[in-house]
Amino acid sequence: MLVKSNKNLKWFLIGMLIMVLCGAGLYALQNWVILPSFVELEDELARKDLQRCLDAIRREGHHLGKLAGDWAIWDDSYRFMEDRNQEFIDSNLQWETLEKSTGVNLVYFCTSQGEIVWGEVYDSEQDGQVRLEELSPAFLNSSNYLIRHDSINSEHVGILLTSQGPLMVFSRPIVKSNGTGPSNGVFIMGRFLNRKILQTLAEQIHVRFTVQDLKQSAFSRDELELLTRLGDGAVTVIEKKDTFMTVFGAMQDIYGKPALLVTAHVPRDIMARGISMGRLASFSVLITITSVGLLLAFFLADYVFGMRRKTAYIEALIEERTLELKNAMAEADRIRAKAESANKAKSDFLANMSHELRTPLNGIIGMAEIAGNYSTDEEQRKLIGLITAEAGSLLRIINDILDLSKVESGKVELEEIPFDLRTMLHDVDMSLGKQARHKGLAFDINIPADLPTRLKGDPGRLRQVLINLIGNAMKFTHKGRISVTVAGTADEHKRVQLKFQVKDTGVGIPRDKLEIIFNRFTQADESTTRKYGGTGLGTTICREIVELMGGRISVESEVNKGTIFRFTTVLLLQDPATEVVPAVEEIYSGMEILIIDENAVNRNIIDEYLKNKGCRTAWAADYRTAVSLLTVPSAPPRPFDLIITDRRIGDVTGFDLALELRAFDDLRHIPIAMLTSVGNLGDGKRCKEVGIRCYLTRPVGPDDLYNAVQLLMDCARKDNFDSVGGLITKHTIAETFRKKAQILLVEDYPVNQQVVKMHLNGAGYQVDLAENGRQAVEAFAKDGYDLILMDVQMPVLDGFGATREIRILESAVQAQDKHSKRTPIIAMTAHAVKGYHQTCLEAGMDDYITKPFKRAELLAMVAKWMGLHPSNGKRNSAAEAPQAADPADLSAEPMDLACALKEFMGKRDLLLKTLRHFLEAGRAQIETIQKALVDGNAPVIRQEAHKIKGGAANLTAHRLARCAHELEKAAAAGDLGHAVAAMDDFKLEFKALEDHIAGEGRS
Amino acid sequence: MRRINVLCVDDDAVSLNKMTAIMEELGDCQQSGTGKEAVAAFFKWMEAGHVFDLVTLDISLPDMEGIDVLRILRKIETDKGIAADKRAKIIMVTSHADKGRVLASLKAGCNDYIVKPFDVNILIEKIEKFGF
Repeated sequence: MLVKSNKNLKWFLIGMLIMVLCGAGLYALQNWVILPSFVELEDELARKDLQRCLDAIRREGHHLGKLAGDWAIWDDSYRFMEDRNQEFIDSNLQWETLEKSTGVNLVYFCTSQGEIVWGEVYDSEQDGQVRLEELSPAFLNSSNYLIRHDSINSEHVGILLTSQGPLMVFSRPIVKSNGTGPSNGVFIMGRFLNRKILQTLAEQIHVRFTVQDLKQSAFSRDELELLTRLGDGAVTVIEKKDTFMTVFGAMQDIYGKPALLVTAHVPRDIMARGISMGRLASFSVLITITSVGLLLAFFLADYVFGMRRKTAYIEALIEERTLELKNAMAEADRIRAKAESANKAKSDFLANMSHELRTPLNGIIGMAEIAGNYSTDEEQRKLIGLITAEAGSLLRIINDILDLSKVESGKVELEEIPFDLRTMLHDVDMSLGKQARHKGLAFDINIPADLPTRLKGDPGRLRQVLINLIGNAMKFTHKGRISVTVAGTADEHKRVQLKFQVKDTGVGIPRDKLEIIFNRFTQADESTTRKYGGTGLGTTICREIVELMGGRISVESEVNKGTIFRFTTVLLLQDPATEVVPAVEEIYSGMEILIIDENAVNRNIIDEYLKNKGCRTAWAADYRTAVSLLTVPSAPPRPFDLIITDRRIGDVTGFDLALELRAFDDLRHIPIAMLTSVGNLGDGKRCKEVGIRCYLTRPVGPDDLYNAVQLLMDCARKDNFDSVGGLITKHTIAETFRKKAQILLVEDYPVNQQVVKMHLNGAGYQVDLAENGRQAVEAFAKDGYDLILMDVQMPVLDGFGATREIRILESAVQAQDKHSKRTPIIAMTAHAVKGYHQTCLEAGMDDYITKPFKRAELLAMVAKWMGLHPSNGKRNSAAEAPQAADPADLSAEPMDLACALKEFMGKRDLLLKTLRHFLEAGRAQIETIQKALVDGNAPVIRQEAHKIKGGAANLTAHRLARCAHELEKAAAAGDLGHAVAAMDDFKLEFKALEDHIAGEGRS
Repeated sequence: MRRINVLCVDDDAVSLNKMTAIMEELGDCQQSGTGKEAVAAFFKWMEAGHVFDLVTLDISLPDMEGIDVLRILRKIETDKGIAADKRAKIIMVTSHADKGRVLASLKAGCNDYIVKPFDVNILIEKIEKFGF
């Protein structure tokens, strides 16, 4: 707005300037164009006035002449001249009368020779007779102009300057009345040009003038000369005053010499009028312009202000709208955030609750298992089995719920791993089919021979759906048949659309319930729950998963006739060229394993372990079934690759089975592993005798089992059981892996060192420690390792540098020994930012694990690269042994108050005071670090992080200490990107600690 | 063991309080957060006619290195003509146990060395070895 007003001001000033210029112009016009013409007019008029004066005076002369003519052309005068009679004079020349009547002051009768016959000058104003020198006899002679006449009619008239004032004279020859001559003398008549006459004249001609002797004027000699030169009547000098002008003119006398100065005073009316006219004109023009200007200015201003108001209004409106919009968006954001957090809260809650529920359940199952294993009472074992079964059911329900919530909230990601559909279906046939047949139902799975079955997808989820549907079918079918069909073709894009169908002859689903069957927690009938059990989630999960897989699920049913569930899914064909399955995987995938155990729980445990590796399992609970499974040809063309049996199978033992199998050619080579809860002396020998190559005492953890199977299959293939002393036992495994398992742990943070070492040792690996990259390279140079776990950020030499050097060493060694293998190097990093994997690979590493990591993740990674177990740890959570609390375990508390209290010698108050101070200082330090992050001030960050680390560690807040350590390391390396990420973690941990303390404070 | 006078020196409040908590079990404890404070406290105590039996000295302090404080304390004791067996027992507290540092501190006159995080019992053992 300010700018606009300046512009307006500019325009206003310009307007003013224009007006001033106009005024000036007008003034100029007035003075130099209009007025001069007035001046000229004035001058002219003035001159004319003067002329009139001069003319008036001259007229006097003529007037006089006329009078004189009367006298001069008169017989009486003629006679007088001859006789000079007195009578003439007395009768005519009585001055009082004469002057009064004629105003004549001078009468002279002269002879032609100039002799004065009679002459007198009389002026009443001058008190009578006046003597004039100029008309003295001496003066008047025949050569005098006044006397000399050429003819009888010549007249001489003019002014005569006398000592008594100017005189108008007239002279002519005296002649007879009839005008005939000869002349008898000269008659001269004169009149004084006195004031009275002049005044009369002035009044007559309306011009004020004075007459004076030129010689007595104020003119200089030069001026006089000028005037003289210009002749009679010349008007040259004009003096101008404001209101009147003075015009000078000269008159000659009768002798032709300049005699009189006539001064006329002429008022300057014209000028005055002209000026006033001009003023009026200018004024009116000015007024007009001003008014017009003001009017324009007014309108302009009005317009401008109007515009401004409008603009302001619009702007205000815009702001209002913008604000509204902002508010609306903020509101929308808030609502979204709320919804998101609500959603998150729901997911978290579910996740937490499920975790909370599963943990004790796992405990129950575990304990029950142990109790079962150590119980010799048959009855007790049966009861415990039931407990376990029920717990297992409950667990499944909880898993279902969690699964569903995960799938619904989109947290489930499908795998894309290669698998064989045929294998999977066979597996289903084996397990569920068996149960169905056991129930007296017919069960078949139909796979067309031309169906492409080597596919890529998520076999686990697919199996889940199938098992669910088939399970339902089995639940609701009491007689008849359950058949599963699959069909499909591949298209040109290597996609296979599969159509599955699960058909049963069961109780069916009423029409009105068909629509809601896929809804949560609904079952066909309320009474179904009572009769058949279940959560009603199964079909819902199926739908979610099927849809996640890009398919559709539908149901068709008729009460008491049966039900058909159909679903489609889209999978990809395996790409034979690029699918490089590591040799390790092949051990398990497609392996057919027979599990023989009376105890269902035991069986299930082993079954789970193996199925997680992608094996196909079959089981038998008694001897006869086992043997028949082994001997009777069945759907899979291949026999079993492995038998895992319990020591006791009903009344007989595994040894008996082994012996019997030896009789069969095609069965004797199958490796057998025996599991037992109680080891008996002599079992080992017995095993060797009967050809059982593996003997494991329970509890058998998954790792043990995997190791055993690995070793067993390995030795079986190579047929070198001697290398393991003829029998694989836990001891052998431990030894074998201890001998071979050499891991180099490169880590600088002491707590981390301890933790990781503990994990690895617990899993049976032997671990060497290096504190920095330099030490790592030196250690590697000295000994070989099977695996190196390399922390990335370390002093002296960091992980990348060490890796590079190690690879260089390796290539040197490889040049000499072609069989030397590449040592896998796993990076342990605090954060995986984008592209980090690439960075690790480029540096020569093989893989990476992000800190903080759980024991299971670590071991899985190690196992993967140790070439022993293909990692697939995600599904194993239920089977994991309960973990010992270690100081840096994530699931531990942010701070162990009991421990800290001990370290503070039981001084609770001191501890709490120290804690409070630490947290207070910590908050301030967080601010400092934040600011330093913004400023890019790495040394400050490092310093503060270091301080906090020390304090936290001292207070047993190890999680926080570890975060501080990461932050410190990142800052020390100048890596602000990592520092920012580490700071986020740190803040979370700090908050966790604060919350924890607050919680403890309350309790 | 008799009750001893201890001077605890550490710039980290938490460590300091922890050490104090431990030391208060053994006797009377004074705290210092910087090298200067430590030297001042030590000197004042001596001027008042007392002695510190034990000093736990953090190896790095904000204003000076622990080892410098160590030297100054020893110098004070030398100037006051304190006999070798009557001198304060100084334990350096550090987070690293590299050879260089250990040797340097011993050369500078400390009596023992403990690495953080330490086991309280080990610390107590070391102190008991001094034979108070």
